Amino acid sequence: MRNYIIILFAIIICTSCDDILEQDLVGKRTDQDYWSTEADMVDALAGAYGQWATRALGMHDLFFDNQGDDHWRAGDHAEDEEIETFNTNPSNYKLRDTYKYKYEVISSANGILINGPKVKDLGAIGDASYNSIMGQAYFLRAYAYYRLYLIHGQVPIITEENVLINEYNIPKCESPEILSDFILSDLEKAVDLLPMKNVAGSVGKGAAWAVMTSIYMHRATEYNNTEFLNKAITAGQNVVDNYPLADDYLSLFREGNQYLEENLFIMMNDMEWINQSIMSKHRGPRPWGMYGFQEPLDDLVDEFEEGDVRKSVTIISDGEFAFQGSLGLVEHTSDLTNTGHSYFKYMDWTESGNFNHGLNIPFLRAADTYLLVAEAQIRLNGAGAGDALINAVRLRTGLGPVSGADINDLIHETRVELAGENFRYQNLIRWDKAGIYDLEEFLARPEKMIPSDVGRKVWNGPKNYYQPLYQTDIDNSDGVLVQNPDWVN
Amino acid sequence: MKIKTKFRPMARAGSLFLFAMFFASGIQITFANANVVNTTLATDNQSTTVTGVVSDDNGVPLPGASVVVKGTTTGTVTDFDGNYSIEVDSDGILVFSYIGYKTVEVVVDGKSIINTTLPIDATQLDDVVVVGYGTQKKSEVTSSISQINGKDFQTSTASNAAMALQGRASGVEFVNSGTPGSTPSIRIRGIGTINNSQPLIVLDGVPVSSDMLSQLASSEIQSVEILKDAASGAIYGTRAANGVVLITTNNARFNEKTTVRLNASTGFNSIIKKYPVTNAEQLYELKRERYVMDGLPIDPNSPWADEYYNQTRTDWQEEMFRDGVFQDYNMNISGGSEKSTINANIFYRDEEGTQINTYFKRLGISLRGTQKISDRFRIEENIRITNNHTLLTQDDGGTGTSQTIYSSYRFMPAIPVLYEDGSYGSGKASTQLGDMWNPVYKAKEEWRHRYKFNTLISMKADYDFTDSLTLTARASYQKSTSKYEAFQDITPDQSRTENLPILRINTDETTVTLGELFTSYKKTSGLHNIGAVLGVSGQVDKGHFINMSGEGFASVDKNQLVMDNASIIKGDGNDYLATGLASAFVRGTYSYNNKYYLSGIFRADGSSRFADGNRWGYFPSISGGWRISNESFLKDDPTISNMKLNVGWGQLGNQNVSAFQYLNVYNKDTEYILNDTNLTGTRLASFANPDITWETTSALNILLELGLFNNKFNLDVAYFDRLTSDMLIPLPGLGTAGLVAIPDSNIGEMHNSGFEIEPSYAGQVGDLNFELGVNATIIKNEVTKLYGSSKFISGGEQTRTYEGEPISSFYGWKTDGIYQNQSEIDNDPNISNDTRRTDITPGDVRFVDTNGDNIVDEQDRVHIGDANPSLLLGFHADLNYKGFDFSAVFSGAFGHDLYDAMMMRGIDPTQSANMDAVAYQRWTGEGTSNTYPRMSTIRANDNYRVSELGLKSGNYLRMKDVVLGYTIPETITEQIGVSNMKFYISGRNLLTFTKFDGVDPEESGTGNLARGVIYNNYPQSKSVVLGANITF
Repeated sequence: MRNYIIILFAIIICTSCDDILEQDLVGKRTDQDYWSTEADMVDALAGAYGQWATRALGMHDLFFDNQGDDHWRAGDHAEDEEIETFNTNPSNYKLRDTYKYKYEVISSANGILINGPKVKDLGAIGDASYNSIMGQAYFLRAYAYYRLYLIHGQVPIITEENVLINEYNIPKCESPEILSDFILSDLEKAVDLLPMKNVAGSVGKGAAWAVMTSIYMHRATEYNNTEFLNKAITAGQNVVDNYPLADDYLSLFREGNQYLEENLFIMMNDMEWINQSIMSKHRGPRPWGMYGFQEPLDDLVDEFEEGDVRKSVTIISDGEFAFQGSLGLVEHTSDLTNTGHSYFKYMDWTESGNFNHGLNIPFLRAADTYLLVAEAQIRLNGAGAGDALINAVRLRTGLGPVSGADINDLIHETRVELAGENFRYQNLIRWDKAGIYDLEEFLARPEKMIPSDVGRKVWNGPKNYYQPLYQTDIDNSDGVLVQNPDWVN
Repeated sequence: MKIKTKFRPMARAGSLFLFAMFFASGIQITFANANVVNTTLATDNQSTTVTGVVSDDNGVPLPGASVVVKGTTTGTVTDFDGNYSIEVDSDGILVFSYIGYKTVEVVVDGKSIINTTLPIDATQLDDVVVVGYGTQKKSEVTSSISQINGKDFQTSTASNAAMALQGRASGVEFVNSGTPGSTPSIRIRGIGTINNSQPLIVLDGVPVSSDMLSQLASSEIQSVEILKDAASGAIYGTRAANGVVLITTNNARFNEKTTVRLNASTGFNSIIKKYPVTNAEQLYELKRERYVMDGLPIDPNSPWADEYYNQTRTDWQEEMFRDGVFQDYNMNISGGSEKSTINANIFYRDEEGTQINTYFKRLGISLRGTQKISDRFRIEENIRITNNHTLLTQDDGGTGTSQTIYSSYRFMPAIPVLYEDGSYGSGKASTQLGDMWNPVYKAKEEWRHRYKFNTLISMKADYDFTDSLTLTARASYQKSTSKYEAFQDITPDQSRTENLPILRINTDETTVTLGELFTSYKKTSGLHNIGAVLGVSGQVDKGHFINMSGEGFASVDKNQLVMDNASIIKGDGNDYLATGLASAFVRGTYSYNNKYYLSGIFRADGSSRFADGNRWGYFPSISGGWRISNESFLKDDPTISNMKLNVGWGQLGNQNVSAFQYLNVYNKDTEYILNDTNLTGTRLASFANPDITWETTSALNILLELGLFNNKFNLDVAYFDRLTSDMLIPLPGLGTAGLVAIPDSNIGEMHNSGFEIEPSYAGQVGDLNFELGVNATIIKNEVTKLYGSSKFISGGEQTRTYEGEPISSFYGWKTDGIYQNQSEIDNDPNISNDTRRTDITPGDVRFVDTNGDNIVDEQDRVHIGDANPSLLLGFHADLNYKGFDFSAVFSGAFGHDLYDAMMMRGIDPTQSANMDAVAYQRWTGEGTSNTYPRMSTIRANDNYRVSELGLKSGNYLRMKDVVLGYTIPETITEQIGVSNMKFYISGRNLLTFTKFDGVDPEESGTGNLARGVIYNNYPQSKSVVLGANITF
């Protein structure tokens, strides 16, 4: 008994204060030991890419495209209705996550840009791998800011300098142009560092050129703005010269698409590892295993020319059949949707008849850049100047070549080629700014919306060029972050 | 910092000294043992057996009264009939004592039968109060401690003891959830911090997690003491800022006859009230009306153009809620010999939830034993093993729309539970039917089991160096394992299809190791009483978790649902952050002539949660008492039997915040694929705050105790003032920081002050004994410092916490009725400059322009109310008449508002869900309603924004417990060998008085920062139970 008691007390006495107070952080790492190996950099890069699958782009960003005329929101979310009818309340939570998650990508990229050189100095990584990772970090940061630029116009620019002094409450940049200049400078660094062709899932130079092309086109706010249209052509031509288009349109959206050179930037996914169902699942009929948002409108379906193979890849309509693995051919019936159509681009089934929500989703395709270059050439040099590039895109469509294509032909081609890929509304804004469309009139046309929205979906420029900033972020900034113009009553 | 370096060697030296003392004392054990043997032999020769009955003034036998041979440790206690039997020298003296009665000494003088009557001690002040590391006489306590006797709630039907405490003590608030098996959160003297404000729970001297409350049977509890102020709480230092709840379980006494007590009860649980919603016909009308109001044709594709949806087929609350049967059994076996005691509790509870396919089961055993190794040396063991098993239809505590409580209220009434072909009714035909699954489907075809297995092993050794000085060592080890198993099948029938069956298994395990060593000293010398406690304590908490999910099962037979059979398995797991706490403490008490009392405490705590240099905190307290009634000028006052004034001040800490916030932490949690390789990406998960440390609460307590008419009438009045400084608050979350967590900073201040008033009266009218008591608490809460007067902490969409205001203000727009006609809109100065004016139509809510710019915008949001009650009220009545006893406990809160977010969803036709019944009272034309806006989905005016429209008074008074019991006269029970037999009928939450028309006015867990926001929280239940209590 006495021994026992002595042991008992020994527990107390021998476990001195220091032992009790020195508890280890198990299973997690800190600044003290992170950033020492190549694997640390690769993991951090994977962390930056991984955010795109969820809310950085995968989900909420896509809902802003409801404001265009390709599809209507469907689903049952009141906040989607606000967005689609151009009444976005600054407290709408769809504004919150897509903003926050993009800054998460920026945070991860900044971490790599700040700490990568330390790993290099330790001699823990070779030049090729180091340059590729640093280039991707510049690209990912640029792409996150690019999406913010399109959605909000002006946002705070958090760079390595801000991170090092823990400064996150800063005003938004003074103009969208300043933001786009910052993005372009990141992209130039990315182009310098990245290889032309990178491993599957990683971007190469092409992705950076593609975003540069897009930004120049958004900057070309007059129909024939020589400066930016020429810049777009120069940047885009790099893509045209180095990244051939895929032979088969469907293959761009199905398993194995990460190896296609046309897919410049792709969100990797699979059912076993990432298993990120949000991107592929949120569109499509609920009884088929999807969530039922975003149903294509007749207006988009009618845009396709007779015989265009892209139609059946992009859309499935009532009376058409989908092959659903062991379930065989299943008819798209009228009770599935309000419009009679569903997007089919990201719809796939496994052999056992389960919905395959593991498809890789392309974010940037070379075909987009081809068409941007073609557009720039038409706008600078007139009808026919973009024929070669338009025809390169049409080669796999089952349609014949065009000749003497004008800006309307180009817009038609762009709409069908990129349908459902989150480009339409941003392109419409671009074309409004360049004087090609008057969105106030264009988007008010009854065929551009679901019947119950007629009279409610009223576009107002310039307010609706951008979304408001999320109210809580403004509130929390204590006056530092100011709401976008026109969104303040 | 200087103090810290000095302190550590001191603490270690101190503990070594104590250790050495004990080591030396071990040698004495042998001698002590020898002495005992000698005495026993010596007394045997001259002893005689004395028997008798001990009773009170009225001749009622006193069970458990102590009978001791004066000048020895030989003693016994009376049985349940007041009988005793004791060996004593024929010329010895017997000392009879009983709590609340005066002690009586009788000279044996050769008698063999001595019947004694103990007069009631008029002051009744010598109850013993547990104070942490020891006990004190109640009369000597100089701080605010609420004591609740275990017998007060042993017949309550509440599923755990904590719930049964509600309404019984002033200054203590409870936040209940109706989820089967859940424990309430407790607040003592207001919300002391925006962070975790749960008090420290100490079970038989061992700090335990608050979840332990769900693992105790009410019948086990002997007493609960709540340390409410710093003067008492400082002994627990850095964990006591939010109060300390000390729970003492029953134990056997030496020389106690073995008794067996059985308690069995059974009864029903049901929801307190149904939530009023529209039926299908009303909903159909409302949904169609919104098209008309918005000037639109009815969408021919929508259900609102289909007569099928104009017929009620299901009352979902009828389908989902039921009368749940519950049974509760417990057995206590208790007895002791001269040298050892054993006390065992075995308890089982099987409680069906108010929702179908839910239950809570608890099986447990606790064993306590004490051995006298010698006259001076005692060892005590305490072992508890409990297993809780809960089956739920939804995740714990959630309020989202996927929860079955939500769908029970909101699923479409036109949809049948089952279609004629036997498949489950669903809303998949249209997105307008709601993004919800048939709740009956969820309840019946899915399951969520949670198992909590908890063991606590504790040992305590006491060694008396002298009659005054005792050394105590305690070691305890707790291990809790929890397993959560949930299964979701594929749902081809429901609105969002899941393609693969999913099985989730989460397990976690936590351990707490505690070692303590302390000495206690008590000495009476003339009129001086001195007491002291000095000790050290060390505690380490560790744990780990593993979460797994498996998808794709060929067979969903329950026996085939194992991870091996899943086609996709994912998992994660890690250690929990280990924390250590090293402490030293001292308490001194002094009293003079039962008139003047003084007490001081000092505790030093080192916590591994903070960085080296910020770890050590020092918590002092001092308090004094003056028994005015013992002064000569009051001593013989015929009215005032007791009057005592206590004043105390001290400092306490709260370290209950996430550990390791002083480090930059990277998480590895993001799956990605690069170069065809599966990677788990890493990201910066939290920024570091190297300066983080505990919160400090400085508390003042003034307590006046008054007893009148022989203490039949008692009144306690306390004033308290608690200032929490260095309150940890997160800097405002900024989207620009991404998902990186922002660490807390010690910058806030919170102030709580108020009064506690507790009058009670105990009286007797003929055979009727009664006690009536009221406890009222008035609390004023104010956040006195954040990071600037314009800044706030958001508690979600509806609430904000500002400097200079109470925690969790509802923040939104003021309203002024409904626009009845166009001219009201045209002439409304609130919106005369507002661009939205042309979009507003009659039937919309008139929001108030508070800043005078004639525009209603974000700038017009103001504090529109808050959920902090200005008055908490408890009331209890205990009556005894012959064999009958009756007791009732009421609890209520007054002077606060609630924000009915549930209703705000329920009157908005944009929501694809069934609506609240009040939506039917909407505006349909001029003069029809000035409260509920028109049916519209146009959001130009955003009628459903956070505003006074959702604000309701939260006043309520609820009868928490009521018990009527009958004890069969002993003359009858004796004949069947039963010493006590009682039957009772008991009820809980049977009566509620309130004007609140939402789910429930009683606060449920939405967190301190979103206090009083009403969602679809799990509703509390009411219950009625029949029980029997039998003692052999």
